Amino acid sequence: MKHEQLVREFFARNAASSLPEGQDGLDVYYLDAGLIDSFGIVTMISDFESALGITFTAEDMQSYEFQTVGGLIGILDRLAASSAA
Amino acid sequence: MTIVPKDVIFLSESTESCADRWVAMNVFARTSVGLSSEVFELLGRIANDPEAGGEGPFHCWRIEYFSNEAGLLADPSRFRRNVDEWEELCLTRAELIAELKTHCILVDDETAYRKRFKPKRNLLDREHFGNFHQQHGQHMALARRKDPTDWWMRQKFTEDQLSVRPDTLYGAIQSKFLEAYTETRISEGMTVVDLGCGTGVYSNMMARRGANVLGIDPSEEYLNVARANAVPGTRFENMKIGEVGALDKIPASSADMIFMSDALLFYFVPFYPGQNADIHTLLKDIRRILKPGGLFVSMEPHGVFYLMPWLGAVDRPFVVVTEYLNKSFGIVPPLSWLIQQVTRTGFAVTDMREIVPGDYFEKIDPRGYHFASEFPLWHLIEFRPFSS
Ligand SMILES: C[S@@+](CC[C@H](N)C(=O)[O-])C[C@H]1O[C@@H](n2cnc3c(N)ncnc32)[C@H](O)[C@@H]1O
Repeated sequence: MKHEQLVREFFARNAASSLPEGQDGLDVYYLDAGLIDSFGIVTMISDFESALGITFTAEDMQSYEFQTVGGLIGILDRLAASSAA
Repeated sequence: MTIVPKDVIFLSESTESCADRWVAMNVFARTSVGLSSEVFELLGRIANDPEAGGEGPFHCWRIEYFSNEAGLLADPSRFRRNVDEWEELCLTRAELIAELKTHCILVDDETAYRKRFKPKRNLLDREHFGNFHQQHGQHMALARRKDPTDWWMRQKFTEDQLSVRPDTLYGAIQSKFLEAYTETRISEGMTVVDLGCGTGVYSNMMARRGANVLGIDPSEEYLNVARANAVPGTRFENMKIGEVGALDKIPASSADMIFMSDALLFYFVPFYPGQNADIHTLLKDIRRILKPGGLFVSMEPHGVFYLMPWLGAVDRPFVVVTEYLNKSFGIVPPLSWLIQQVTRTGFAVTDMREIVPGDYFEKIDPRGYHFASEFPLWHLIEFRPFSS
């Protein structure tokens, strides 16, 4: 939940249009939907990394999951868990 | 059916210390794997015999990397030349097939594979190969996290940003050539406009030859560097070149020479999506600003050889060209497009040079030197306006 909130807050601050509530929001392909652009994604990556003390690998960033809001939250959950362990 | 696409070539990389090594290279996808001979043999037979080669274990090597990370003029071949740096893998059959598919040495579905040769949809798109700019942008943003502007300046110029790095082909070709060329073309008191001047290193070179140089660029970041390093006789201004009205402040018939280096190509393959620059607008402005009998000089990456892999022996290079008229990877227009666009606006081509590296470079990078001495990486074209 903590990570979902973090991601939603990021899009609330930076996205061109708003992210729907609930599951609909999680299913959004944020780049395809034009919520953020290529510059935005670079900001997003560094924001999440510094907020959570994690590092995305190139594989994480180019994975299928990374492209949707829900998938992204899943990746944050996994990386944060392994960096805490 | 799993096949080796016809896009794959095999190069022998056996050495005394390490016999029995091959490089399989997909020349369209620009991907490579190092192979032992049992894998080479398996690849030769797999289309007719899906079980060919048995269960392994198999030896192969990870050798692929984004070699232009070292600079836009670094060896673009994308595989490690030094066999000592190859990462050895010992794989089961399933693992081997997966590794070969990752690098497009094997494909399951040729139609799906060919569809991958399209522009990337966004920075995260790994399915589509995209052109060189997109691949480079993706690599810099995601794998290296580098600021592209800063990276570009460092790979081309010396630490102090005052000159072109002599240890790169930029230095050996562009800068070495321009030193001599400006000597013959620039005379005391000439007025020169450098369009897309970037950090102004070539504007300064022309000013040192006695010209009054107006450097124009749309990037404030580059112009800040240009202004900090400006020599007497230069002036730098921010204008959105290629947009209607952008150059109106420059008076008509005011320049003896208009110079562009590594900038005209962006009017054919946009530097970024949605770039708002139009070549007709640019050329109309150039015609207006030039004095009658003035000179328009454009030095650009070579439309055939730029970013093509450097293959063969160090002193006997060859190249495999996968495209020319229809660009999927390339970012430089075919020669006829470039020339026709300009000549249709009322210019004639009066000279063309295909530029090769200075001899000193053989000691610095023999492979780059021999390649670029046979296959020029830049050309320079001189245009003069017809009197209308
Ligand atoms: C590869 S750099 C070359 C800079 C410089 N001429 C040199 O040779 O070092 C390309 C330059 O073109 C500039 N540029 C961008 N858009 C342009 C446009 N529409 N017309 C001309 N130049 C442009 C960039 O800001 C950048 O400084």
